[in-house]
Order: sequence, then C-alpha cells, then structure tokens
Amino acid sequence: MPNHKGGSQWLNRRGYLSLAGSAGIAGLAGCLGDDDDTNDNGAGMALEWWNIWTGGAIHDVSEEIATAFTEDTGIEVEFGRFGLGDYRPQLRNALGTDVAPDTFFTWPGPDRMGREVAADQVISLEDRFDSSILDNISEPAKQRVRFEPDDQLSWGSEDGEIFGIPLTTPTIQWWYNRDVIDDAGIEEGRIHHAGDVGWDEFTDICEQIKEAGYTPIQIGNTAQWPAQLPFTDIMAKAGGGDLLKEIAFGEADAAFTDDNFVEAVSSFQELHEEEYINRDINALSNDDAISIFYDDGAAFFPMGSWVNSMIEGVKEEDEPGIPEKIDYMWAPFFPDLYDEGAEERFLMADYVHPVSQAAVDRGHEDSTIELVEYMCSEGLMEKFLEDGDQPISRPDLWDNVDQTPVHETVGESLNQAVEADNTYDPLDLTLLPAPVEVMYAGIQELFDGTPAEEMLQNLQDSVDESLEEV
Amino acid sequence: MSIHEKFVTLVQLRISKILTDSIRKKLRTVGFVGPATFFYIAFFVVPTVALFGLSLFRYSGIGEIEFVGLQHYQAFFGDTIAHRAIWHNLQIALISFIFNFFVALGLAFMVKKSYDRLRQFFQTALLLPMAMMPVAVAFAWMYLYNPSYGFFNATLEILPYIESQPIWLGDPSIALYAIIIVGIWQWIGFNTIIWLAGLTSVDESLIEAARIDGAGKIQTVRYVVLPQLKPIAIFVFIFTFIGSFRTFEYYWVMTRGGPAHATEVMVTWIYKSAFDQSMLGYAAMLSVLLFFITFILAIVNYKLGEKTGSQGAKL
Repeated sequence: MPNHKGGSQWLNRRGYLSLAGSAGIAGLAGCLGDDDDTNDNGAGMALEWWNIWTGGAIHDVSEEIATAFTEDTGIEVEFGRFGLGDYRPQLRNALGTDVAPDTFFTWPGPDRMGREVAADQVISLEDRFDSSILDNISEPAKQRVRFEPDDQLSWGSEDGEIFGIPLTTPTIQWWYNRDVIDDAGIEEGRIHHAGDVGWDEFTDICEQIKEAGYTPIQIGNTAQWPAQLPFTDIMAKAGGGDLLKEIAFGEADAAFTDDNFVEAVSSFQELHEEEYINRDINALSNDDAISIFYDDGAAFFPMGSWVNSMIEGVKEEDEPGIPEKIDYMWAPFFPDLYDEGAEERFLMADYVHPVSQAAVDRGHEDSTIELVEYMCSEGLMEKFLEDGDQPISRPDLWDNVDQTPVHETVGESLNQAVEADNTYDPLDLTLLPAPVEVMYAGIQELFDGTPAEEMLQNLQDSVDESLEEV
Repeated sequence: MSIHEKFVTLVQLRISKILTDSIRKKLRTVGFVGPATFFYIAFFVVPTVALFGLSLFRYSGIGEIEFVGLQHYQAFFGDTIAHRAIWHNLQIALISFIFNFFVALGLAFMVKKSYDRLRQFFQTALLLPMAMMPVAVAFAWMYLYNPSYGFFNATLEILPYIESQPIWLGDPSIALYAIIIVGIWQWIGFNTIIWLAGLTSVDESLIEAARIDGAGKIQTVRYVVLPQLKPIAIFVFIFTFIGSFRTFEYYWVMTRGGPAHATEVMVTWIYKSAFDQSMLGYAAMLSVLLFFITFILAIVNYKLGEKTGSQGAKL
C-alpha cells in the first residue's frame, strides 16, 4: 500500500473516520426534516396545548380533560407547560413560527390577547365556535375576549368578535381573617360580602385592628403585581372602571392626574404611613404574606378568588379555610369622590384559550376548536370548578357540581360581580406594557414616600407615550 | 490484492497527486480548528451580528418588524431607568473591586502565612461559595434577609438598643448594597485564591534581598511584593468590572430590580425591555451597549497586559 506523508493509514484510519463522520452528519441532517402535516382534520396528529399549569389541581384537571378528549376523538394532545415567569417569553417567541401551539393559555387585554389579535396570530371564533356553548358563557366573560380585527386597543368593543374562550372569571376581593376580625371586636356582619363600606369607615376598622395588635392589611409585593390589585380597586373607586379604561386607551378627557385619583391614591399611601399596611410590603413575597394572613397575623388580604389554592398551600388538611376562617368584602369606596363606586366590582376573564393561526396553517383548525369546545362542554368544564376550584365562566353548569363551601363563597362573589352595575379589570391587563412597568415601580415608590401626584404624573406620561407608539 | 485493496490504493494514489504537503497540512489544521470555529461562529458571531441588526428595528416578538435606524440609540439618552441601571452597575463594580482587591489580598496574605494543612482547608472553604449556583445563593440570602423570620433581623431583634430592623430588600436606600454583599460573599474566595497564586509566584530572593537591605515588612510588601502582583491586580480589576456589568441572577431572584428600580441593573432592564415590555429591538440596543462596555474593558485589559508584559494579560 502506498506510504504517503502522515502515514500509509491516512485513508484507512483518518480517512474512514472522516467519511464516517460526514456520513453521520448527513444522516442526522436528513432525520431533522419536518413532518409533512397536511391532514385536514388532525386525526393522528397531536395538538399542542400550552399553559402555565405545572402542578396542582388545575394541572391534574387539564390532564384529565386531554385524556378524555383523546379517548373520544383519537387526537393526541401534547402539553407545553412553563412556569409563570417563563411563559410569556416562550409564547411570544413561538407565535408566528411553526412551533406555535395550536391553543394556549393567554390573558385578555391590549398587550396580551390584543397584541396577538393585531398580529393575526389568533383567529376569530365568531361563527366558528359552538353557539350553544358560547351562549352560556357569561356576558362579562365574553365581553373581555372581544376585539375588532387588527385593533389592539379595541378590547371589549361591542362591535368586536370573540377571539378566545375564557374558561374562568375570577373576582378580586379583600379577604379577611375571621379570627382576627373577631378578636379585634369588629362586627363581621357589617363587612361580610359587603360592597358599601366607605373609606372612612374602613380606616376606622383598620385602626381598631391595629390597636388589637394585628396588621390590618397584609400585602407581599416583591413580585410587584399583588399591590396592583388593591391599587386598581382604589383607582376604580375614585372614578369608575369605565373611566380607567378610557384613560388607558386615550379616549377620555380625564387623566390619571385628576384630583379624584390623586386624593384616592394619597389615601392608599396613608394606609402604609399609618401602618395599616405591613411595613415590609416591598420586601415580602406573596407566599409569605398569605402565611402571615392565615396564621392570624393580619386581618385583610386583597387577592383574587384563586386565594383558596394559596390557602390550601399553607394550611393543614384538617384546618379551616374558606369560608370557615376566611371570607371576603369588596374594596372600600370613596363616597365623596365617586359614590357609584359602591356598585362596581372587580372581575376579570382568565384562562383564555384562543386558536392560533399556526393551527389553521397546519390544518388543525377544526380539531383545535373541538378541543377548546371540549374544555367548555357540560360534563367536563365542571371539573375546573369541582376539582380545580376555579370559577368557571358558564354559570349554567355551577348547579351540576356538588358545591363545597368554597365553591359557594366564590360563586356568590361571582354572582355579585355579574349583577353589579359595572365591573373593571386589573390595570396591569388594561394598560400597555410600558405604563405597567411605571405603575409597578410607582406603587413601590408610593410606599417609600413618593407623592401620589408625582407617581400618577409619571403613569399618565407613560400612557401618553405608549399610545403614540401603537 | 483484493478488489477493495486495489480500490483503496487507486484512491490514495489519486489523492496523493492532488494533495501537496502544504495543502494537506492546511486541511489538517482546518480539521482540528474547524469544529470549534463553526460553533464559535454559529453561537457567538452570528447572534452578535443579529443583535446589532435587531437593534435597528422595532419588533415586539410577534407581528411586523419595522426598521427604525438609530431611533433606539437616541431613545437611550432619555431612558432614565437605563442610566440608573448603569450607575448601579458602576457602584457594584467599584464596591466589589474594593473588596476583591483589598480584602481578598489581605485574606491571601493570611492564608499564605498559615500552616500547610490550614492553608488547604482555607483554600477549599474559600472556593465553596463559588461552587454554588448563583440562583441558589440568591434564594438562600433572600431568606437571610427576610424581614419577618430572616436570620439577620431575628438577630437584630434580640440585640439591645435596636428599635426597628431594616427591610433589607424592601428599602430602596439599602437594597442595592444588601445584594452587592451577596456577590462579594460568593466571589471573594475566588479572588483570594487568585491573589494567593500571585503571592506564591513572587520571587522570594527579592524579598530576602529587601530584608537584608533593612526594609521593614510594610516596605517589603509595598515596594517588592505589590509591584510583582500588578498583573494579578489588572486581572482582578477587569474580572470584577466585567462580572459586575454582567450580573443578573442575584438582582432578578431577590428583587426583580425593585423596589422601584432601586436594584435595577443593565441585564434586568434588558430582560424587562425584551420580555415584559415586548421591545426586542430596544433590548437589543441595550445589549449592544453592554457589549461595547465589556469590549472596552477587555481592550483595556489587553493593553494593560501588554504593558506589564507578564502573565497578567494571559489570565
């Protein structure tokens, strides 16, 4: 065999290794080709369902529903699950690409669903979705998933189309610890499920609780969104939920810097100055706050009706929960600023599931719609309520469930909200992202002494700037 | 000769006609360097170039992508939060450098003076924090700083004459410094070991000569030891500054840049711009600026290393 420089084995050893490596890489490249996805009804093709339910009862419910769907239709459902912090970046990166999920958990609002609608990443379900299901979803829930096509700011438009299905409609209340209230000598009957507690009356209650040695209001705001809930309440009670939305979208003559808002936010700030709100609000996590609240360290805990799952995480199985130990009142209102505030309630649409444009492109449109209809169908949607303790958006199905006291309490709050004169949404869903960041930081600054006027001016300036860029 | 052997011989003869020694040598070089170069280009050069490109566009992650030229760079001058973040990074760098220089050097002297077995123990103990993941370190310190049940406040509570405990991570005036301490705690051991390596390499004969000439300990350290540690000092300076500008985990896990941007650093602001505010182009611009800051620091390191002409630059 010829002996070349580098050894006569050049081709025998190295050459063969090189050829083998190249062939291997070529083989791998060939294996990475996309599957041909042309099956129109999706039979035999898995549907991608993305959500944030990485554990707990709601995770189990989603698994159950997917399994039932597969058994009935033969269509596999694959989950993409991400923790809350990772979910939005992952979803944003995926939408518009061929790895976008067929259906996914999203939130209403101009920067969430609105952006997806405006970018044609989701399809209108008007005239596509089972009308018998759609007619039974509560009107406040449907209103919150309506957009006009291509218009990010047309959230809730009466001329809009439905772009997603909200599975739940949680409410946001000021939960109270019965034991602490009793020990502080507060008459519980006055605040029980009440929406007409005036601000002065509420601060008197807080003073009484403080004198009894408890923290009146416990909030853990390291994640920044928890304090935004009572802040939204304060702002809505100062001028009305509709006005908040109009200012956020630049449709009102009013501004967040108007006197009523300044006075309301100043009053909110005073709660911290008077030590009615825990001093360490900006350093306490939401989990720590609920522990302190449940362990009789505080009287009030502003949070959504999902608070039950939080309480389940801190109490023992045989310890009392909602409503034996924990019940709710609605946020106090300002009779001198906006007396109709007593008739407005805090409600949101949640667990919204649209159908992506990617599903249509893959030929999964019908099967994906079928999956979402499945989630909302009688016999299955009840599982979100019964096993997941979620306030489902179909009031007609509530009586199908053997309701626990928790369900009854949450159900009553939902009924009160639906029957109220008006409802409003969280400001961090209503505002565009830059003002949300300003609001989060501004609320933390309020508790550090920044004047309310300055905080609200920064917020309004950010709203104005962001609307110019839309 | 079998058919296979004839085939191989023919191929080898053909190849040997085409390949001269120099071409073969070049091919061998490419073969060894190629894979690493491929990964370097694919995972560093291409993304960096793409980052520069993205900084010229407005893009939210979905929908249309719009060319805006240098608009993001212009907007940076009005972005007070970004300015604040850079200022925080500078503070982190300066404070960390003071500890990584003076305190770490002092620890290195102490460790060097200790007995052999103790020295090994100290070397291991100093490196242990560095072995932990920064996220885990951040969570651990969060519990230490917890205002209700954290170790620090629980200790302060039992001390006399202390009326109220600080809210370490909730008070905008102290939160940044509370987190800086975490980074110093984790990395001071590493810097101590670096100084120790430098001290070990100092020429003992020069120290002996200084002693013979009547120099005191402080004079010896100042005029003999420290000049020989100059390359180490340069390394510590550059490593500290680059690390300070790239820091993220502590500030994200412990405070997410709050309260009210009091602990905002460049990388947390880049993250928020990209993923909370869906301004990918703007975030890319901030990343480009951060790239240039660290690039300039790397150039400074290189130039200083060239001047000293020793292993400082090679570190």
